[in-house]
Amino acid sequence: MEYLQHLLIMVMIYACLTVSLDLNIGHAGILSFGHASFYGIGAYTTAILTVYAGLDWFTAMVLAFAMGAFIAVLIGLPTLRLGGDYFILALFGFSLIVTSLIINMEWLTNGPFGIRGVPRPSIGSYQVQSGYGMLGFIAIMTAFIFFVHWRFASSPMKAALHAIRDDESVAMSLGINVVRTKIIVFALGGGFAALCGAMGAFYFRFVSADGYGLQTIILLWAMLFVGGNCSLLGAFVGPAVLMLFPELFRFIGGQGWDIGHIQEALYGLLLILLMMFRPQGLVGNKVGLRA
Amino acid sequence: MLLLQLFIDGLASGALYALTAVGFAIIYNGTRILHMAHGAVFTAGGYALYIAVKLLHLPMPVAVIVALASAAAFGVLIDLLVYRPLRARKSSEAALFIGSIGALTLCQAVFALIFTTDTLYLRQGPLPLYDIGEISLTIMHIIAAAIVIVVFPILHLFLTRTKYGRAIRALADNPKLSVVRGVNVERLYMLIFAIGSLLAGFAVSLIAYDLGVRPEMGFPVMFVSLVAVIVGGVGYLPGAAAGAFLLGLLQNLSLWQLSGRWQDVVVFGALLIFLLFRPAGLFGHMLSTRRV
Amino acid sequence: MTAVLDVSGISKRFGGLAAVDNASFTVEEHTITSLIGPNGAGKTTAFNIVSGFLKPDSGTVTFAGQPIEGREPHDIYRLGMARTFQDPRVFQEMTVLDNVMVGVRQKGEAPFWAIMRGAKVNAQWKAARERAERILEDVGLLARAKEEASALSFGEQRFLSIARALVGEPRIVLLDEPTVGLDRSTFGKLVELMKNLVTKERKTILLIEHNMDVVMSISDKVVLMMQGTTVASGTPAEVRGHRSMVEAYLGKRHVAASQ
Repeated sequence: MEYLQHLLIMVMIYACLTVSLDLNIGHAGILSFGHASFYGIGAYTTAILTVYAGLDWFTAMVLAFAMGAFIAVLIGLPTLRLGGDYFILALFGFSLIVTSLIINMEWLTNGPFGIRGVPRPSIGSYQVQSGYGMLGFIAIMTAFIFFVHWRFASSPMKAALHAIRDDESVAMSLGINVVRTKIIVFALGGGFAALCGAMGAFYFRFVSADGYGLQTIILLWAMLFVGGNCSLLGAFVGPAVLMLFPELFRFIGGQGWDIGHIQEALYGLLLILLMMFRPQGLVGNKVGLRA
Repeated sequence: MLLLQLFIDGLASGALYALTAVGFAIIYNGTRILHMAHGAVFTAGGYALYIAVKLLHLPMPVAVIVALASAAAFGVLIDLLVYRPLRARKSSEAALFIGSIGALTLCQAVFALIFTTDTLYLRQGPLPLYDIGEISLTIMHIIAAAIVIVVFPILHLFLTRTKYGRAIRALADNPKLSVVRGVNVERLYMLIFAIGSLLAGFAVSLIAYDLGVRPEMGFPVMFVSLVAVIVGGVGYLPGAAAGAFLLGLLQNLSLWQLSGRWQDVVVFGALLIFLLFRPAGLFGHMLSTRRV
Repeated sequence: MTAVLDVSGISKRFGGLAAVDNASFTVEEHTITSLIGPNGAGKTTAFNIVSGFLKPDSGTVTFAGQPIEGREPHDIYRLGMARTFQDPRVFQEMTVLDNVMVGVRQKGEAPFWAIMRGAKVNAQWKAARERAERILEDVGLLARAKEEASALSFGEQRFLSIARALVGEPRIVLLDEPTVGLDRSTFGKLVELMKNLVTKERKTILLIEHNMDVVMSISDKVVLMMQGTTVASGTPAEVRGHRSMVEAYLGKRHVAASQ
């Protein structure tokens, strides 16, 4: 039962990350290859502010969002004007730098040892406990994040984003401030990824430097493309499939094989096959990635 | 003379990066694929060398030829199995990139499953040092220099003097062509992947012999090469080589003042600075200009 | 008649090549002005300068009394100037209606208002939809509003791109070769539409056009460009008789022969 709770919580956190990545990639065509870093930035901001600065969980969470958005603006301003491949590279460079800084700035991040003892959220005198309490907390946060993204995707904002994604020049010719809109949406993606980082920090009560690098980036991209672009349902299906898939291996057994590597091999194979046979993902709309 | 030693070391690693970077650049210029799986090709060459030396007990020169051929074949195989079907579907560049990421992930995982994640060594102990004045060289420095001095002129002659080489250059100028100088582009792609992967094979043979083989060894090298292509300027092969030497020097010279763990920051800091102030790179032209 | 658009001495060089070289012309309100000239005369470059896609090396562009040269395209659109491109460039995967609605700037685009949308934001959105539907009706595409734009024929996509440019109620519309690739019947519809825009909707049109029959029949004013420069301008009749006109379209030998 506890394990099932854990799986559910992980699916929800990844679903939130996926939906925020979808806002960038699916809706705005911003191929953010650094999304995992914002996740990490949010986790560390939360941990540092609660454990070292003694702030309450809610303030820390809000500041984590702000930090993610702020750093996204900082990195987006010079890089969003670059062409597709350059942007992918720049963002990946950024994410390597973030990982390196987390490990090397020991005075702030405690280096490779990570930060322990992140408090659980509390409301009034009620302290959220492990188990169902945490499940409820994550579920409420997930509902909130999905609600916000649903509002985005059902508003005139979506049309403007899709216009930019499909043809920037035409979007400009129709009065859309392309540069500003892209920066705003990139900041939102960064902010919400950071919020997911805060959720993760509250759940694990511990942050460490691994988990925000290339593997996580690929996992997030895989989740997005398995589920499909521009689809709230897809943002749930992708993480659910990829999180629960490996569980099957526990049952059919794979003695002597490293489950982690089998998992990775399958992610890789899945990405290739998806691009070949179903670029819109399992439940995604045909819009989105022009594949 | 620490600084001079670091300079020499920087040139040596620059030479290795130059091989992978020019290989990557040939592929990127001709196909416009952000070929992340180049890292897997690199690693495949390393394991091929390991198998040839340790399991088949082939003499070193033969083993190196096996490694080179394997790398080339592996690169072509990725093109045939991953990129060609995607091209046939008229997939977007983003889809090709994701396919490439998939191939990289798949290959790294399969290498780990077959060979484990342990480093496999081809030899034991430190390499003998040759002291010249105050600097010391290993055989690796010398071979790296020799390969660059031999391989790049041959590559240059091939690209400028032969029918297929010229076709590759013409394709780089206009990647949308389907037939270049009487050569079918799909054929040309195979050749491009073979040559680009072959160059990675040279680099990995040296690195594998020196430091051993690991499943994820290709990724950092590939990524530095990619940065080198940007820093040097996309579309100009000597630019990629120059960018590679620059990064190799930067990485090693930074050791003078910083500890080794800041190397990632140094390399990608350089990338970000270039993207900010000189996105066209040292020599190149910006490829992606705004389409009106 | 006052000039709503005044282009004065604009130049633009690409590398060593002068694409536009000291070109000047004016567009009067509620008229159709056609920009003509042989291929490579710099018409589209001039369009791109006027609409903000290129910054001129020198010269000024004045729209409704304001200098606009070097301003961003989205700013210029908001001042009341819309444009189309040579290709229709409709958003293939959006519906026909959504395509048009992209042209309406509204509050609900800002993330905050997208989340917190109240009556005002919704009303604005509804109004945008109604306006889009009205314009689709004008161009004869209302029946297909719910279809994906990729389902339309090339000619229909062209009309869609014009509808998209009109939905923001611009004062002036810049149309880049709108008749190219149209068959005879759609061609007639487009000419009719352009005439109606000026007479009924009181719009102003600046047109790049190669079809001389269209130019001569609907233009109030014709501006001839050659080698980046405006060489003649006036009523269709005046420009038709201009020496450069014969040179441009028939070649120099004919000029010599006709003398």
